[in-house]
Amino acid sequence: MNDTCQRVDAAVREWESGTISDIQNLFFIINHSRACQRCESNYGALLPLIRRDAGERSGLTPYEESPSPDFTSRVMRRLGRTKVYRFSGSFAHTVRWALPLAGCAALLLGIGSFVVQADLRSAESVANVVFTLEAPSASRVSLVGDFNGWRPEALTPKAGGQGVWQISVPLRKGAVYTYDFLIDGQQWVADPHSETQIDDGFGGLASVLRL
Amino acid sequence: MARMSPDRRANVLLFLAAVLSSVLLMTAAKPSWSDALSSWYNSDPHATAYAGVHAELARVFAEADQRHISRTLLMDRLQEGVAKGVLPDRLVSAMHGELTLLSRARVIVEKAKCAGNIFSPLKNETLKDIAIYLRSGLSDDIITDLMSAGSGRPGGKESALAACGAIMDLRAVAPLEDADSLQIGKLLMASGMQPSGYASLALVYGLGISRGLNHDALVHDVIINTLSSGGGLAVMTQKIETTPIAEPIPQPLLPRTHPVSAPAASEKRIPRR
Repeated sequence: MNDTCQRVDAAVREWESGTISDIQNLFFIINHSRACQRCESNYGALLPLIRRDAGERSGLTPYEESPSPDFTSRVMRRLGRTKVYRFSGSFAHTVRWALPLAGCAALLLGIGSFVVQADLRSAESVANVVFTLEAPSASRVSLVGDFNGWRPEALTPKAGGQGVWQISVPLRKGAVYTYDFLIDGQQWVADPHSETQIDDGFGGLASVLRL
Repeated sequence: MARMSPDRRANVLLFLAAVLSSVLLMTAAKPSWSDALSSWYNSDPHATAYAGVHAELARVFAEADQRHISRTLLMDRLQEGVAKGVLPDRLVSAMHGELTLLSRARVIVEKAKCAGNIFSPLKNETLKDIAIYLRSGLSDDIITDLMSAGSGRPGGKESALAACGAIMDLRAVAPLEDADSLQIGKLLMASGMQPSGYASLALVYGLGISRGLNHDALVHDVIINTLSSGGGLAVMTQKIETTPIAEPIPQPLLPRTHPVSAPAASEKRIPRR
């Protein structure tokens, strides 16, 4: 091992632990490693270090091997298969990419804010309405209306003291609802507490609730 | 188009194809929505009792399409009738009546020029609310006038609908004439009160009656005069409370137009399973 090889070994170890400080030293190491049979093993270790440091300091050009003789033809073949976009100028480039991207971003923002606002609005626009019916002799009571698709099984008030049946239902404000109570699955009864009852068109009554 | 590069032309065609596909998808989705009646017949076990009137109901729904009335509104009433177990003929008759009411509601909206545009389409809820007000006995003219008064103003439609509701509630307890109804509705809308507060008017009327005020004094001196002078519910309540209580209550609250709990016992019903 001559002095040059020892110097290269030391420089490689130093480089592995940090960064190379002298560009001339870099070229020396590379050239010697490629030429010296003993230092050839260092050559493989140098490439990751070069890649690591490439671009981190100005003027440093990463070392690259010479291209193979058929490199140009391979590249050109590949380019022939690749779709190449050409832009006539900076304005065309802006229109093609920046405006659609900005449009998408604005659309997403708009949808997001709408969803958030809709959530806030819906939270503010719901009221919990307590429905009560005095029916001491009833064994089962249902609250049936357009807010539950007129399904008797959907809302069943609980029996409280003295035959008072009660249920709390969240309903949207600003709407008009029609409903009735169904006692024991047979008797339809309008809500005596509702301000208005109207003809239901079926020979009975419908209670009206306006929030 | 002639100067476009092939790539750009391909992009434009791709975009047009995407738009066309979306339109076709929306068109294809429509029949499943519009055939709600058949879906109901296929899915609801109670529908078998109404198999004999399927064709008549389908005609009502088809007529609704022609009049640009949403089938959802009719389905809601259909479900009410089925839940109440009404006989098939009665159901068909009621559905015809509902279609007439909804058509009148649509005419009112169009007369009042508050039909929606592409950015705020006419909501089903608006038609449904107006149909309920019509069923309660409010006249087309009163609703049209109030809707017209609210047309073109921010929140005007909601304000008009709330005023209709307040009058409906008031007329449930008071023998209110149409002219007074309209005047009170318009004053409410111009009062600056929150529409949700209009509903308290019936309570104020009830309070006045319980203090011994007669109907005319309540309607004209308390309600109309207060609203005309820019006052609100608080002023009305104050006026009522400062009025000496009369010995007898001269005029009790009107009995409700229909008796409470009147499920029409004589009416034949289809028992629910």
